Amino acid sequence: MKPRDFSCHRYDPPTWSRRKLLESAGAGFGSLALSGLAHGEGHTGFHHLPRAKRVIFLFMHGGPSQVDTFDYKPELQKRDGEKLPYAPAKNLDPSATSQAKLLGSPWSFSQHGESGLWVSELFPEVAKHADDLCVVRSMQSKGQSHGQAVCMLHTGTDNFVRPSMGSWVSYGLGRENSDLPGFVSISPSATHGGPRNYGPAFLPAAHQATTIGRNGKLAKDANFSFLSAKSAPDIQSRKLAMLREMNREHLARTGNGEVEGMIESMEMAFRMQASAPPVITIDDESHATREMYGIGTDETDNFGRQCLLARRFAESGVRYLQVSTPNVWDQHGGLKKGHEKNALAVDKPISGLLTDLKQRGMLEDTLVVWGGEFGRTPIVQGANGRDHNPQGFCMWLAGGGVKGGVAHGETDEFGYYAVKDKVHMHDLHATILHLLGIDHLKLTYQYAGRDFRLTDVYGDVVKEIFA
Amino acid sequence: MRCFLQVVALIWVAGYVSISEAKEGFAFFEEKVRPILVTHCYECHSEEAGKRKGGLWLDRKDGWVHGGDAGPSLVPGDPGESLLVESIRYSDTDLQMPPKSRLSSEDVQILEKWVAVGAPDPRDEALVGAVRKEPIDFEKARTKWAYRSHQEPIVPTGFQSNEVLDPLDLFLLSDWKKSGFSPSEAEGPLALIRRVHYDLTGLPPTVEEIEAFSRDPSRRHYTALVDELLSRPGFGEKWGRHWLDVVRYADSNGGDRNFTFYQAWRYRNWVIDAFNRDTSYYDFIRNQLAGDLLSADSPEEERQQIIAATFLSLGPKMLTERDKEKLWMDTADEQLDTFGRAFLGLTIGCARCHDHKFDPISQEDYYAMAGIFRSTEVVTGTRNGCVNVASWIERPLPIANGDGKETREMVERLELAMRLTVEKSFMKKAGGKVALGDLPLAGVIYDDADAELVGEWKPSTISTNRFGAGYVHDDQKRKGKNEAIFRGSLPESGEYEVRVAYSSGQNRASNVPICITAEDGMHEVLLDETKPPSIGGLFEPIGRFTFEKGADCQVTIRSEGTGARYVIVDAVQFIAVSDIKRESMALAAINEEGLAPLHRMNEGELKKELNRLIEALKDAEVAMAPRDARDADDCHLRVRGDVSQKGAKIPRNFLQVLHEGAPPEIEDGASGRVQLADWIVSKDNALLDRVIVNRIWHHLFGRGIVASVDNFGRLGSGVTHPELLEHLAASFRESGGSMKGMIRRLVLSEAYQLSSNASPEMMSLDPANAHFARQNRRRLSAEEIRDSILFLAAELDREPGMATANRFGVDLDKPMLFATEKKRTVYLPVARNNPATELAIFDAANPDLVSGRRSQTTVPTQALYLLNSDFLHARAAALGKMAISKAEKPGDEIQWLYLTLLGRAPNPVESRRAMGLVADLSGGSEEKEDLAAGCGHLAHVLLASTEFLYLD
Repeated sequence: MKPRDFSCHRYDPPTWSRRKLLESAGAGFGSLALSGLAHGEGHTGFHHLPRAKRVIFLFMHGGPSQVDTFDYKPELQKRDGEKLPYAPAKNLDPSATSQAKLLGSPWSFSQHGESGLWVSELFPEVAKHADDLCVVRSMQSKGQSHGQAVCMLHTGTDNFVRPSMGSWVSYGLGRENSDLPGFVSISPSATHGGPRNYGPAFLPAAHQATTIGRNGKLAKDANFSFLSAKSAPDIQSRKLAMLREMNREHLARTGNGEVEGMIESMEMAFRMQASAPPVITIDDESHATREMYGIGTDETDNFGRQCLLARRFAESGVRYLQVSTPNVWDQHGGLKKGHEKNALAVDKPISGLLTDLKQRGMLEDTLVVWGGEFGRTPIVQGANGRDHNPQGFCMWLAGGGVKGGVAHGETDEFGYYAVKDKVHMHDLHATILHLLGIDHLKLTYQYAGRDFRLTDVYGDVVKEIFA
Repeated sequence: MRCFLQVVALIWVAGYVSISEAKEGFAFFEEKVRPILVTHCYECHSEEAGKRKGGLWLDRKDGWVHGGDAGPSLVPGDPGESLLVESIRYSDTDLQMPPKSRLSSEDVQILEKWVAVGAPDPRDEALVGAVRKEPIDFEKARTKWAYRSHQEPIVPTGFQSNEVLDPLDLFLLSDWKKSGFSPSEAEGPLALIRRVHYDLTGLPPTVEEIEAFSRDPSRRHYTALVDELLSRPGFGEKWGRHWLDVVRYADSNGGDRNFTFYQAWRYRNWVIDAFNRDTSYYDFIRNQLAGDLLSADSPEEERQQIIAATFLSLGPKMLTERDKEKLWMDTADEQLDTFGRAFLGLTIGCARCHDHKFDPISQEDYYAMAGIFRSTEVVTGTRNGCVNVASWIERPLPIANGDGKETREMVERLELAMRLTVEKSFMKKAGGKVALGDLPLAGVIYDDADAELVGEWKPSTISTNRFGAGYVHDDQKRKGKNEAIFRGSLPESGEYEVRVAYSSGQNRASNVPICITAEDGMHEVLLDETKPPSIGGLFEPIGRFTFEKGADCQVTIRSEGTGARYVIVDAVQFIAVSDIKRESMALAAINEEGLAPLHRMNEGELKKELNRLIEALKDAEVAMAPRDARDADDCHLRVRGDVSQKGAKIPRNFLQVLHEGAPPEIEDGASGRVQLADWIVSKDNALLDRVIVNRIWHHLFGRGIVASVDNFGRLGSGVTHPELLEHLAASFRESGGSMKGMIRRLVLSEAYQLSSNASPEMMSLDPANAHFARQNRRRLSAEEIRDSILFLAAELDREPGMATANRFGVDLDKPMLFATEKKRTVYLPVARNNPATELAIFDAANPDLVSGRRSQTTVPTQALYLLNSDFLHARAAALGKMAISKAEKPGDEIQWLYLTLLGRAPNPVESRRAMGLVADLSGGSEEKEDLAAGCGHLAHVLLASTEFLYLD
């Protein structure tokens, strides 16, 4: 067989030499470090100088409304109750389109920081960081329903099974800390694609996120699976000693590289048992820090813990963190009550995270991304709700090499369709990868007859927002 | 300027261009048009930028003349028909250019004018590089090894052997001779019996079986052992699982809503059974593609065939997709992609948006095949009462004694309930009316109160024969000035009958003009209100029109030209033509007692009924099989795969590279699956045989002759032993497609029985073992690890599992914990998006994807699971107790544990070490209980060892 230029992919036959094994395990869980490569050296490596070392993606599941949060539309307020002067989007619920009436935001907006960025009163704490925020007001995505749009956000496709963004990052850059996974998802949702949204699809399984917590909830004693020993330490170590001897003898008999890899991964497991728990517990955080994240206050305790844990993982070298709310932002009705409750739950924790990252000097190389799978319609649905709106919505980025205190792009006068400097979800993906030092056109994986990439055949890097 | 442009326009329209006028047109282009194109379009559509998005050049005239993937970009002189103009107007949300920001209205006007005056364009660069790429040369492609018909390669001769060698060994011997390789030794009996037990049944041999084979490892005994293993039910359980990997089997939907597939297990058990009965591979495949359509000799056979067709329904679907046409096309895509990779090793899915970049599969091929799957109905109605959440087709199963009427009625009732739920919910949301008194009318109805009344209309309740609270009339006045406009919105695209309600009478107008705005434009009809309406005395059909889902549809009733007579306006009904029969049955049954109560239910009641029926049917004799769709037809090519961008209609056909003849004849109303099934198993299609033979080889030798078992295309791994593969494929065809026969043959070969150890020299000559000069060592699969541990601890429940997923509830989103399950793993529910941890960490197949070859990873979580899971702790402790109870003298327990768990006795050093561990961990106590605990720890160490986890 003649050598192929994509020999690092799975189509190459397994040779099970030690080196080969480590490669085929896809830099999985410690194998890079074990292989003697420098920590942080990745699979494909950097294509250019990275501006960010890691990403914390604050996922607002359900789809927060742009016109009630970071996209101020005076015209919408003024014409509350009037008929939308153009056609609503396709495939909306008829309870929204049959009336097509504008619904002004129930919240007032004001300008914040030196930059004068507009933020609604839903986010008083985050607003204090206005000069660090880069609000993209012209987001567009695909998928009129949650399932499609959530998968679009996390995996770059609304209907196929593809690797998630964190898996691509893990595949592309490998891990920074050999004792911890490269991609962690904190309290991911089981619905709307569930693990698909943090899964590796056809990438090597090692690039799947390691999860902690579930469905937006983080138990106080949340832990990685199977990390706690079931036997007393002396019993465990006695057994491990015999296991090591047996395995070494087996290796000597077989000379098998795969067996060797298994032995090494076992060693890694033993080390993880010691190194992971200190990262997961927040016992050593000061009262002031907990308070800053809203931990200890009923409304903010859960998301505060998620954010604080995200910072601890980020600090320990995890490259990609997904932090999810439960699927609560979906206000087809009861907009006021719902959005108020949801914003309250995350506002202080997010503010705390930004403050904390900043004071530790981590914000400059940590990219924080905030947003939902889509926005919501400026027209009313039913009596007091808004339907899904992938046609135009906003997300914001902070730190990690993006400009602060700016708004990029525009929606129309009512905040319905993105019209200026549109940023498609594919573009956001390309941009995030770029900030991490990856060229989205070059990060590819061959599967089922072609090269795949996160951005499919799309994606333009939004360089305008770079600091 | 305006004056000039009008002049130019006239001249261009007249088709007469003088040189000087053309020059003025060019001047306009240079001054106004070119700067816009350069600034806003060249970035993605010019040679200079090296980009030709959508296949379109805009830096030369020929670029827009030829156009991109969607066809010519503009029609000179007709802005309204020009894609370019449409896109810059931003009026269609699917086609907006430039994509990032719309042009200023001045720029849009300039380009509109430019097109209107005939698009003068002096840029005459040739279309080099912009011409469409070479069409696929199917003639040439058909000669490639993968696509050609069966070959009969000559079996090598001239090798000395004591045994009569299988030709497959001769092919390999010839390869080794050529390469100068020496094969490994034959495997010893201990390793061989463990290997063959696992490979054929997925379970280890018992101590007694090991001892018996060690006493007589003769060829005769080995053959008898193989035959015995092939007859065990465990064979189907092991090999059925291989097939389930390939067909992305799961017990839940995954996608966006993870609903439990209550009936999928029937297919799983059918697969296991098919392996055990050694069903011909060709019947096996035909039934999965079209079992529901093929004739059967008995109700039992019919039943099995319908279950087999579940293959088509099993895929993950985005059930909440609101655009139902997209949902249908995506479902067809998933089926076609799975079909291609599973049966043919071809990535047909790659041709959805454009011709396959590497393999001879054109985009036309894709849509010719997609038409067959698009004509198959898989998704329908609503699963949970929400109109945006689709469900799937279920079919009642025939029962031998002819019973089953009740189930059949329930299935029909469920479908009606789903349909009415969608309709009523939509009707309410769209502002239509539901309450119909005693008339169970279908469709969407708008009352006069919903209409926009222009002019003066008088409300009335004089006639009791009316819809809703009342109706209106024009009092015979203001003729020509009155209008009643009904604006509607419909739940699905398609053909509808439009009906109007009025109270008839001799003083009514006989020529009421009614305008209908449908998808294809405006239609006008005249209505005679002197005649009584024909449907229930209330509604009169006025014609059938096609409407688009969600788009505005409008019916305007006017009074113009109606003379001195009354024009009555009461209501308008839109009913899908396909629903008319159902409605008339409901109307006919209206007076029968106890019938058709569904029609009178409100939304809440319907939802409750729907859930009741789903619950009642989950354990009923029902299969999750599809049926041919009502609108079975050829489908349109979709430009760049975009469902909304329709290209030409493509006649249904098979892949041209494998099928030279004319397209199949498909009778009206049929999907073409029967023809597809017959074609794919036809003897000329050698690819089908190559792919399955290679899959079998892969499982027995650790890698395929084509290592990329799901991809025989150019980007696959290629074939290492083409003649060997040809030989096996041809003999498989001759055998009539006996999978068991092929498995038996490979297992009895000398090559299969080679040791997995090799000399250092051979290891370095062929590290990847591409020449099969030794066996490949493999790790046990996730299923084998779990099943073995249960089996060894004497806890494995050998009875087949049935509907094991059903007790988990309506969806499989809760954590899957199998720690207390006792069935073989193949029978446990496979939850998409939510795999059981113990299986996922050992690389169980991802049920979203075709997984002919599982990925294999080595991650610390595996070790953590082996060390710290409750499951292993409990089983190890049980094994410790068993060891002590079997021991007659000290040391027996160690012997027994090694023999049982590792298939061999310990050597003296190992014995001493093991005894040391047991002594230490039983605290030096001689009590049986303490010793058992110590032995439990030893068992745990053995189960976590690489020796246990790997198969030599």
